[in-house]
Amino acid sequence: MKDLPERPAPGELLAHNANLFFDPGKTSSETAPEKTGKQHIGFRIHEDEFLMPMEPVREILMPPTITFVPRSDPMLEGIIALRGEIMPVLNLRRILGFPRGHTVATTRVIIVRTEADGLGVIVDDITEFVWLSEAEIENVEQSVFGAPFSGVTGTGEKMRAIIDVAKLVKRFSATGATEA
Amino acid sequence: MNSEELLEDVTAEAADIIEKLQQATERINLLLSGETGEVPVDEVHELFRYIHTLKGLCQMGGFVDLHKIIHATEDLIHAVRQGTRPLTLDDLLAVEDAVTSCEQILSKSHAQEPALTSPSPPESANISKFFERSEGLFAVTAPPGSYASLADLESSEAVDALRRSCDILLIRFAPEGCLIVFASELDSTILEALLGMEAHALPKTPDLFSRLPAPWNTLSLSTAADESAAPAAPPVAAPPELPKPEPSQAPREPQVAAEDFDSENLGQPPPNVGDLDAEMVTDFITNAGELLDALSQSILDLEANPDSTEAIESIFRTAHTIKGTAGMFGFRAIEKLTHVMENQFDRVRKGQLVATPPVVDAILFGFDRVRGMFAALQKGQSPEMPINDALARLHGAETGVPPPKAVEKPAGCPAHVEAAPAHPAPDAEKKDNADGKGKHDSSAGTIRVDLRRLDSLVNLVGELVIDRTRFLQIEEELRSQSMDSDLVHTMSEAVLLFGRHMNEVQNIIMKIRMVPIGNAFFKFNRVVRDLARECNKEIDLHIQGGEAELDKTLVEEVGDPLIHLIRNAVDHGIESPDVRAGKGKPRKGNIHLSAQQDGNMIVIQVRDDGKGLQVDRIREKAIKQGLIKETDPLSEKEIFNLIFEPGFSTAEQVTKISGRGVGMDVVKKSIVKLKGVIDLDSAVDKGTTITIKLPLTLAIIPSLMVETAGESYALPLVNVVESIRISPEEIQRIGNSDFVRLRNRALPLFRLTDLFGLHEIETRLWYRGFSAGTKWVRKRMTGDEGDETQLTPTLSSPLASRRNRPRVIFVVVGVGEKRMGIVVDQLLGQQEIVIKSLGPLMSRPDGIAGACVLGNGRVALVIDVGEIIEAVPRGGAGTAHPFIQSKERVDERPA
Repeated sequence: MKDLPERPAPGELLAHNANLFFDPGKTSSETAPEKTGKQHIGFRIHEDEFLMPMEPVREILMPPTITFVPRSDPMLEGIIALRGEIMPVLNLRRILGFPRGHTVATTRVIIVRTEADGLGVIVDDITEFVWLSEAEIENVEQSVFGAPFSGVTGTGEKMRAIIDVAKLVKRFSATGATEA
Repeated sequence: MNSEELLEDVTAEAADIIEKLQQATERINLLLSGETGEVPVDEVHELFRYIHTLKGLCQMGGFVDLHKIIHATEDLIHAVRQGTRPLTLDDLLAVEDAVTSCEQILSKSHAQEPALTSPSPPESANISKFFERSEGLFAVTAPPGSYASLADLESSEAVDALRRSCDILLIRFAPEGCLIVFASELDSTILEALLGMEAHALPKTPDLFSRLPAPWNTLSLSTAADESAAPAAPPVAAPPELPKPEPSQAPREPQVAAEDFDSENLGQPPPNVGDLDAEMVTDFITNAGELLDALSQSILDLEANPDSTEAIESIFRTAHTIKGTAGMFGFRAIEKLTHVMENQFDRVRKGQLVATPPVVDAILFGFDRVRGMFAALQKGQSPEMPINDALARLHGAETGVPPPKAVEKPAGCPAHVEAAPAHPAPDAEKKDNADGKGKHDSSAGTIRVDLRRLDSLVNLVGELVIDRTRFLQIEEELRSQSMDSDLVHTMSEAVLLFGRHMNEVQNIIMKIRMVPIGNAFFKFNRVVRDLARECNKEIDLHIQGGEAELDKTLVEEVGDPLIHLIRNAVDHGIESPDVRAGKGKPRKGNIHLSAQQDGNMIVIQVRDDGKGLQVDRIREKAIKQGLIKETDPLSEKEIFNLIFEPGFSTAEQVTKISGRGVGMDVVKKSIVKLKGVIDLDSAVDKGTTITIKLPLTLAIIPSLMVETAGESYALPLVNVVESIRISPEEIQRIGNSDFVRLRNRALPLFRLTDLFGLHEIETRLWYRGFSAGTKWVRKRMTGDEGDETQLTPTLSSPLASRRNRPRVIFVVVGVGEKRMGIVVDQLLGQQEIVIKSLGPLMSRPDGIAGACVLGNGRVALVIDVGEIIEAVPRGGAGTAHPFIQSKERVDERPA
């Protein structure tokens, strides 16, 4: 890739370089001075920033070629192969009600491992890695968003929603199952 | 629906018979209690006929338990009819009870009884009698909706498999799911492998259902059965495989059978060892050699320590396994002998018999005979030897009576004995050990490997194959870019070598999983023999090509559908000898079972020279059932293939008359599941041929790669008939559908774009990645007819590319006789793909079998041709494919 990051962010360089394998333990010492609570990965989708717990995150990929799956869940962008394994890739813009996006130089796919299987989430940019204690996270009623969030944190300049991977997976596999 | 109709017919007819039976028993009752107390033979005959008819009806209706009860009753009356026992009032009572329970169950089934009912008293009694026996009790459950009806369940592969190897005690079919309780001598892991579903081992206590998953745990054995069992018990207790209820007969019975064994069985043709596949026999011997060694060790343990329950258990189990395997091969003598030994140990185990030296001696004697038979088998001789002496010794030891005179020399046919090293127990030990070593030598080259390890190896090799493809592409690109550098040459060479070695590795690894298809065939000899005898037919089974190899899982999976087909051939295909003679055919029917490799496929044929299918009848029935219209111009072959339609198969009326169709849709489903195709041809009075084509392996599928809308798709080659390019003008539009005339047949055309809604791609795929930079490099193709296609790098808009192209490319795909054309943008050539599931998170969309990873790291979907073709409406012209929502046309002719 010839591109330079248009908008350097704390996690940008790392995410860029570590696109093949990402080691949360190593990065934590570089990016987060205080290590209380849980580490979270921050990313941007459209113009909003979100956080996701680092625990299930396994890899951060440069966007691969995504294969279209006919008659599939609207949340599903398509499938990719990760070292021979087929993996669904989700497009959160759709459930968040954001406008259409497209691949840019900073676009990444975050691979998370869940109990059932791995899946990818497309994000427009990786912004930072932060440690959040429980006190910094405020639980929010699910009904407020209608989106798979587990809470909101006020750390940083603006409020950011924390994406709940388990809820995401549940919602995805549930809609997928009913559609078939 | 049809099964319900059938059930109705059966119950109605059974009600008639039951009425007649009741009248008959009443008459006989009067006669018995009359002055003379004698019953005319005619009356008994009539009674027997009714019971026999009722039995047949029960079987037809799938009332397994009822069938058993009636069968036992029939045996009873048969004995009376033969004059071997007088007809007593008790017998009559038993008949009446059987008839009553029959009436009850039938009327219940008529009233659509909810299946979540606990076992009826006769069923409870039937189950509880197994508490005493050595067989384990098991249950399998199926989730709701697994089977459409009771008849569907009854004709399912699982039940079929169970019926062959186990005693089915209870079948429940309900909206809540299905439950089958059965007794089996196998252990649960083997059963699970056999059935492909979880087998719950049940405790042998009255609360045996308590450990089953809900809702079955609410069932309970009816304890009231004990009190009320009195009426129900006699018929239940009388099944032929059980000792007769009269205690005086119990000990005598097995002995009588033992004395009879040699003369009865050695006269029959033993399975010809030459006919069995050598590798199978080797497998069997290897297996048995291990078991015999274990058995020998356990017997020695027992000798040293007669109280060792562990040794007894081990002997019991081992004898049991040998019995089972020998039974499968049809080696009756081994089966019988091990069976008797097993029984002895069962009794020892239960403390009914003490392992005294005579008992151990007798066991060792029998064990030596079994060894001798295996030795004979290994030398390629018939393993059948006289075993009367061994049986007599075993029985003698049991009763404490010294064995009859001949101890050293077997009493049977001496001709066999010479071939067999029948040593007396003690001094034979050493020699037998030597024999055992000999066995090991012959099997020294084989090891057993955990299948999972092999699977992961196969997967890895699959990945390597992909890597190789990728290297190939890189190399080609390198060559096209940088002219003639040494480095490129070296690279080319390395890639070439890599490819060559990869091929070898792939071949070998695939070979490891390959077993001769004969492994699935060998049991058919037995099936045909037994079935033919049952139907009073004379049939020869000819097996050819058992050595053709295919994937182990495939061999296992194909066994059941094949059994179905062979049973059909015996049952309905081949006529009875008299009918055949009347038609001028030889009295003896023939069934040919052949396998033959054809490229990447294996072709299995079941051919009989029976009466064949009657086109008119099938057609009539199909019209009646609304499968086809009166006006549908169907070829004979298309009509034959109707019998694979679900719903058609259960049309019992047709089956009775024209002969075929039981569970043919089940057969087809299982073949399609294995990515295979099934085809049928038949000629009246010439016979029927069923051809099954299967891929050699499930892991790697040869496919035709196609491209549409910038996406690649794989079409399994097994379904591809040909690929054709025509000009758009040749496409004719009829109603909503497009057709093309191909060799004088109208072929429906569907655009892949429409089937898969690929117009949506632009709106659905937001992040198309860097696909714009992706370039399709032409792969080296093997014998591909798509050479004419230009494989230019293309990712232009699919619509534009189609407008500019003067030709329409389509792939003719087929399943059975059904054909359709799938219009694609490009053909990309053949490729071997490793099919993968879409993962547990995603539901599989219709028409997609899975995905595969291409050489360039991209994912391509594998099209499930079967599903797409099945979804094509039979109505033909004017109806849209259900996959298509929008009404776009295939040919967008340039304006």
